[in-house]
Formats: sequence, C-alpha cells, structure tokens
Amino acid sequence: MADLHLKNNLARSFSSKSFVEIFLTMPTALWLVLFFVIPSILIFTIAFHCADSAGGIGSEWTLETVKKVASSNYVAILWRTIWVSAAVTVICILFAVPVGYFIACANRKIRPWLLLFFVLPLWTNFLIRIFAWRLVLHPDGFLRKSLIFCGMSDEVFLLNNMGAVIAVTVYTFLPFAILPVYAAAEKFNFALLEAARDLGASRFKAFYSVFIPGIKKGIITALLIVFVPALGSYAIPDLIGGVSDELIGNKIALRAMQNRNLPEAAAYAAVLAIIIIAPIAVWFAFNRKNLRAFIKARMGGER
Amino acid sequence: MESFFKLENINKTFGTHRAVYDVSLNVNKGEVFSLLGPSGCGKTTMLRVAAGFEDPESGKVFLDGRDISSLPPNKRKINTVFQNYALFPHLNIYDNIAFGPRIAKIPEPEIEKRVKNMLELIRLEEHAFKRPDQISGGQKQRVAIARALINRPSLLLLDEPLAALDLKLRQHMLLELDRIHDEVGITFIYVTHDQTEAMSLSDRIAVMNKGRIEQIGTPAEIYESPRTKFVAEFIGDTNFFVGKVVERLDGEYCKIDLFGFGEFAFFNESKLDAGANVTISMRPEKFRVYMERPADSAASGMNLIKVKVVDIVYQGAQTNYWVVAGDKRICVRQQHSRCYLDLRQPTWNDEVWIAWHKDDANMLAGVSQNGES
Repeated sequence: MADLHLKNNLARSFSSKSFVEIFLTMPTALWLVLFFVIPSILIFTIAFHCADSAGGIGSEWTLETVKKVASSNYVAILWRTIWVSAAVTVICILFAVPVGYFIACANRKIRPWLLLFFVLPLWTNFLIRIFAWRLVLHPDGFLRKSLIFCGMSDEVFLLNNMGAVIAVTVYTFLPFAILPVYAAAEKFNFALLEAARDLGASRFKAFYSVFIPGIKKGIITALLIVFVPALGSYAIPDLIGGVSDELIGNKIALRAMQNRNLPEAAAYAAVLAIIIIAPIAVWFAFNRKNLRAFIKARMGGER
Repeated sequence: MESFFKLENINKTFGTHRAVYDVSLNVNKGEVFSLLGPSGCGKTTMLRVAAGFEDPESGKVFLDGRDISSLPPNKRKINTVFQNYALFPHLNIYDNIAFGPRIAKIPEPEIEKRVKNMLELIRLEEHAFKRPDQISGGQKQRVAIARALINRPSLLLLDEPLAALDLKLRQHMLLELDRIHDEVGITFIYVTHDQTEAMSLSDRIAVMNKGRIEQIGTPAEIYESPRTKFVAEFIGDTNFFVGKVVERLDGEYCKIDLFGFGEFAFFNESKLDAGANVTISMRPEKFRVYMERPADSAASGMNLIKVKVVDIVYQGAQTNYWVVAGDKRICVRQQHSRCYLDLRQPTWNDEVWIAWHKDDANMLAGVSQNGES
C-alpha cells in the first residue's frame, strides 16, 4: 500500500513538474539550439564540401575533405593533441586534489584568501600571462640562466618544446581544476578520515580509500573542465611550443584564418567536437544509469 | 585489581582553552565505564586522547599494561563508534563493516564469515547491500558498532552514540548496546551527557566538569552519595541546605544547625568537628510527607519540619510537591504505591510535615564558608 502511494505521489509530482520544467528550461534550450546545436550542424555539413578558389565554400557535396583529414599526418597531430590534453588533465588533478584538500582543511577565515590566491592570475589577460611565460622561459631569461648556473646543461632549452606547452597549459587550467575539487572537498565529512584511521588505515590509505571516493564528483567535473578546453587550445602551442608541437587547434586556426579553407577547418573542428562530446555523452549515460539505479533502490527499499 | 586501561595525568589545551586538567582514570577489563558531564567538560577530549586523535601535552595512556601514548590511532587496538556514525557513504553496509579487516589484509573468506557474524549480532542481515543513506539512524548506529567491533578491539570507545536518535529509539538502543556488551565482553568507554544513559549502562561512571573528574563511582554511589555540589546537581534533582556543625553525637552522627530550620541529627560521613560549615544535599524522594505530625514511634531516627505546600506537579507515577519553610523552597517527591485517588492528598496551602531519616542526607565535601564548592 505504502509503495503504491509513493508511486502515485512520484507520478503526480513528475507530471505537474514536467510542464513547469519545460517552460522554465525554454530559454536555456533556445540558447543551446541557437549557439551550439545549429553551429555544430553547420560545421558538420561544411566539412562535406570543398573550398572554392575564392576562399568560400563550394556548393557541391564531397567526401574529399573528410578523406584528407583521415591522412596519417593529421592523425598524428590529433593523437598528440589527445595525449597532451590527457597529460595536462592528469597533472592538473594531481595538483588540484592535495590543494583542494588543504584549502578545505584550512581555517574557515583564511579559506577565501587561499582560494583568491589561486584565482588571482585569472584577473590578468590570458595572452599577457602567456607572454609573461615566454619571458620567464626565454633562452636568455633569468630562469634558464639560474638553472645553468646551478649546473643544468646549456643544451637544454625551456621554451619552444612540448614540455613548455604542457607546463603552461597546466598553469592556465589549474584554477579550473582546483575550484570543483575544493567545492567537493569542502562538503566532505572529515570525520570519515578519522574513522578510517581508527579502523587501522594509514594516513595515505585513508586519504586514498575514503577522501578520493568522497570527492569523486568534483574530480570528474575537474577532468571535464580541463580536458575539453585543453583539446581545443591553440594559443599556448603557438606561442610556447616549437615547430613540431602543433596541436589540432593550430591546424584549425591555420586553415580557417590563413588558408581560407573553411571546409577543412570544419572537418578538424568536427573531429574535435566528436572527441569532446563522446566522453561527456558517456559520462551522462553513466550518471543516468546511476540515477535510475538509485531511484530503483529507493523504491525497492520501501517495499 | 590491575587496571586494564589507564589514563595517567592527562593535560590538554586547545589554544587558550584548557580542556583537560591532569586527569587520571583506571578502567577494568570487561566493564562499561562512562564519562559523564555537560558539553565542554572535556569528556570527548579524553576519548580522543584514548583513541589517539589528540596528543596530550603531558600524560600517558596504557592499554593492557603497555604504554601506547606514542602510537597513532591505526596502531592501537582501540576502535571508536563516532557520534554521527561516520559511515563511509560510498560503501554499502557490508563493505563498511569489512573496512577494518580488509585493511588488516585478512583473507576474504574469513572476512565474509566475520561480517556475517556481525550482521547477525546487530540484526541487519537483510540490509547488507544497502548504502548508508538508505537505512535509518538506529540502523546506522548499529552498523557503526559492528564496523568497530569486527576488528576485535581490546577497548571500544563510544562517543555520544545515541545523541542523534529520538527517545524511544534511544531506549531501545540502550538495551541493544547492553546485549551486545554482554555478548562480546569487550571493555567499553562510553561518553555521554545523558545521566539516564550512563546510569542504565555503566558499571562505573566518572562525572566530569570543566576538564576535571569530580567523582568516580558506581551509578548508585554517584546518585546516593555525590561528593560535590556539581555531581549532586548534575545527576538527578536535589535540595541544598547550608548549616554548621554544632556538636558530634555518639558514633557516626553529628548535630547540625541548618540555618533557618533548627538543629538536626545527620550522618557524619566526613567526621566533621563542631564549627565546620557544611552543605547538605537531599534528594526529593528521600522525604516522607505526613498530613499530621507523626507519632514519635513512627518517626524514630527521623528529622521533621513543618512546611506549607505551594506547588503540586502530578506526574502519574509520582508527584512533585514544592513546599516552603520560611523562604526556602524544597522539592519533595512522593511515589504512588497506592491508588492516588483513594487517598487524601496534600493540596495547595496545606500545612504538612516532611521527614527524612538522619542517614539519608548527604554531606558534600569541599564546601567553603558560603556553601559554594
């Protein structure tokens, strides 16, 4: 009886809710359709055309552009883009988790200041910060000179290589990783760590087996927030990287801005979009499954 | 008897706040020992020192004859039941209980056997695969106990384990805890601010106030013979009287001038001499109420005062009468062993006699001139 009652209640609240929900989400949905769905469809369709001689888009449908994108040269760049982004993401998380932990552990009064400390760089223009890095890493810069003085070989260059690209990208995205991890850590019940210690866990084991699962949602958000924009970055490899450190973003910019080959740029962008959307889709599917399992368990529990 | 668990001269300060002053206590093997006191009295700090979560500035912790003061919490054979349970939300009940044995790297079949035993002990077999947010508060409490007990600790610490439960559930869990203690026979240290919990469960109680232990004793000793004003007031209800010893009588008694009431005989536990100031604690139920002055034979060994009834609070099993003598209000409690309606009862403004036996009053130690401790 109680079960039936619950189900009825659920059904009623869902049906009355759904109308209000649709109404209230209309502006957001419109926004998404106008500025995300339609442009995406445009890009996907442009990719199936050829460029004409005037730099416009040819009127005929063709698979030529897509085939070109599949050539080994571009696959290598794509592959490099993915592993660089993955490396950047992993390094960001490795920094963000302990930083989020320590901010959440800190005295309530100094927490906002610590957060500000990590967000402060964002108040300076992105390109200016990148140029600042160029100065820092420059072959005649203070950093390299000091390192050589300390015994580093003078054959090592800090600028214009993949290491520099990864370091500066990590620097750029770190605040975006710290914020969601901190938000999750701040809600974490630290008594759980004591409980784990009490049950025999070492400090590290308690951190790893209780704190990390406890802030899982924050970590997943940080993963997406870093990985997705990192895939599309082109200013950093352009300004910090060397000739052979091009990422897919550079190719898109090159084709669209300099070569005036919009279909080819669109094809790269489409591939990138698929790479970005696929993991998010998987994540959402996983979450919905979780959600359904949760509802099922709840209703099962009532029985 | 050699004590099983010992805290020796523990001192702990947080910032400028001194939480624990030089506290020592001994707990015997197998007993339920309660730390009882108002919030902020230092009882939880003592528990955290025992568990290893707080380093005391000075003092030592002994378990089973071994100095464990420098061991971290994960190396002590002590487990804790936390106030808000602290169950791991990402693990189901089974995995929560299996957490300790898994860390100890006990083989999985053995773990399964132990978890099953524990689930049986706490009677939650059918909930093993639910998550903590899918079970009730009382069930969470039992899981927290099982998760601690499965590690077979030498000592189980319980930090206000029933504080988050409602009254009925609390009474039920109290019996449940008692049953579990009888079954596992592990030494319990139980921290609570609730005297009823402490009295019903404990073999011995330490009453704490402002970082110090005021008295250690069995529940009956603490209730019937409180040594300080704080203990008398904190455990149950009481009436305080101040007075001065007039003379020592034969044997163990003395005559005391209770200010405003005249001279009465009292049991002289502290062997006080004439001239000493005393505070006396009298439990409300120790008084007897007489409508007429009782005959001397009925009142032998009793002290009598004539009072006026000003307030009556009928509570079913008992009635509290507030009576006045001069400007002193006294609370008197009568149990109804006969049907209340059948008897003539005192009513407002009645002049009645209240009597107490000279052995039933309790003289408090460490009382200064003005009766304050």
